[in-house]
Amino acid sequence: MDNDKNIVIQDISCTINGARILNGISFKVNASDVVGIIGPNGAGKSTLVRLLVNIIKPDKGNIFINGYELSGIKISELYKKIAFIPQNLDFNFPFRVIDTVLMGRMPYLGRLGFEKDHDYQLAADAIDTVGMSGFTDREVTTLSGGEKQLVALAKAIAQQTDYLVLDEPISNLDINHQHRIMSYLRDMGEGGKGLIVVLHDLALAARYCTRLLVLDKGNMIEFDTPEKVLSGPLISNVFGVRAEVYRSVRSGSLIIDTFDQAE
Amino acid sequence: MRIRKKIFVTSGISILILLAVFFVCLFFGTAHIGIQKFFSILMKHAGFETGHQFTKADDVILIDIRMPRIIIACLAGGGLAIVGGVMQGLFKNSLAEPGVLGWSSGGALFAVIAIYTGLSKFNFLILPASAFLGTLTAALFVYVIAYENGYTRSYTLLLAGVAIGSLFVSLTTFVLSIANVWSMREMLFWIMGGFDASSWTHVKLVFLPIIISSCGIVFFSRDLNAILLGDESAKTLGVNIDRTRIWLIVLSSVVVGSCVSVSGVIGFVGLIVPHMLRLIVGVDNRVLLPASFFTGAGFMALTDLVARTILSPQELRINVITSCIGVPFFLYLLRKNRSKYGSI
Repeated sequence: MDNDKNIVIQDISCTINGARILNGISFKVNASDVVGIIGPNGAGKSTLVRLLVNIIKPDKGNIFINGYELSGIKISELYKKIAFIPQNLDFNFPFRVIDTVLMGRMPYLGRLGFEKDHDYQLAADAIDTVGMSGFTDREVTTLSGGEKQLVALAKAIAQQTDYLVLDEPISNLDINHQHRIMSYLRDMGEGGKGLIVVLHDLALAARYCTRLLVLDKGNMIEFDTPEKVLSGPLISNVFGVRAEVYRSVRSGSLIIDTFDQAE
Repeated sequence: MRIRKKIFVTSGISILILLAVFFVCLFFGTAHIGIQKFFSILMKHAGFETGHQFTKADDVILIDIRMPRIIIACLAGGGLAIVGGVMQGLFKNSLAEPGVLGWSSGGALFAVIAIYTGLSKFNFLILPASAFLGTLTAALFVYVIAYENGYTRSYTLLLAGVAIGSLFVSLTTFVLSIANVWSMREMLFWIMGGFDASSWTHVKLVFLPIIISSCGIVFFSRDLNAILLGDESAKTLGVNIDRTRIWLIVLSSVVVGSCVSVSGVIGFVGLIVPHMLRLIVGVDNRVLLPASFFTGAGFMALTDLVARTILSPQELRINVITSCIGVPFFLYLLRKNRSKYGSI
């Protein structure tokens, strides 16, 4: 196994409560990749990202982060390499934005250690990066869904990891926040971070991701660039809807028109 | 304000207030002791003679009756308040509190059984150990019933707590009923709570368990902060969720069990104090939990001062006061969060 910066997933299978959720998944994420995981509900997308961040364990297969087997990495070191933003943000206690973002520094602090100037600076920079510098002292409970997602992103940035994994970060957001968050992720990818993001919006996935992984019923159907992956037949087979994929003359982006099978 | 400074400032201020409250509570009581005598007695016990005269009775009232009673009130108030703060965070439920969720009733039942069976005579630690086991039993019952996939459903948690608490109170009453050596007053002590029987023996019994366990709770306060962001977020910040939960429940059970074994069941302190403090110091548990301990200690000492002086020479049960403040506060929180709880 080489020591380049990448995540290598080798033949991963996972069973939960007796049901096989993932079946022999293998792929590789390089630094600078923005990998979109797409697929219908129940395909195993959330299970896959939970495996990547060690929330659950696979039955079979291996995950290597920067050449080291995931299960062999000390917990205190693992979360200096990989950060995670879950689907449901639990921002129900009125922590201030700065305090929430500072929690991203936890893997670097001893149990009784306090945040130092360096940590405060990183947190302030992260808040600034996501355009929330006017919200530093606001309580997170008072923020909109999109703003909460930006705070979660700032926390993950402050965690200063090589990789960031996000489970449906834009599902409940308006169009403005969807583009805003996806463009931050693209920028982070261009800055050298590896990103793995579960998405439902195929057009946004095509626009912002460098590679797409298509899951269906726990199996990996495709893993390639959006142009190679997204096609009418694939969308029809995986999602059960008729689709036409073409390139916008104006923006050059892939446009995906979907129809009911009967239309 | 940076967190380290905030911890020192809030803890420092609450300790100073607690010290002031302690001496006020020590000075006032049913028996009047003049200010000169008061200081003379304290100075004498600190090793200085002031020359002022006081009687042996004054000395006994101040040092052997009032002082241990106030220390026990402080330990119980501090312990119940810090555990209240932990429970509200751990269960993500603003109504969680050792009395409301039946933990204290579990402790009282096991303590009464230890006394009834004579077990408590074998070793002085058996009484608080029994109360600890009772608290832990109640805590685990309520937790197992209400816990589901990282969350404790609010209504389930409260109803399970009320049901388990009622069961333990009934069983405590039963044990007290069949033990004819006990008077109604002792029954009231275990069910209604109070500090009227407090002595230095009680202080020696629970001082270290409450202080050490409370320090242990503070040790986990940053992990508790992360848990408030959700289990998956906390886990990917390096927090061992299961270990933290178990430690916090066990340490909280030691604190509540110790409190109950010397003060009976006292409700609502764990609800009122952390909530009031969140408005002042914020929600960071590294600041909130130590401040809750010191403020809860002062609150309970003052409440006990009112209980022992307002109907002097009669004593008001302390739960009358804590309930008069706590129940409206509980109902206020319930109403404030009704949409949240109504949806769960």
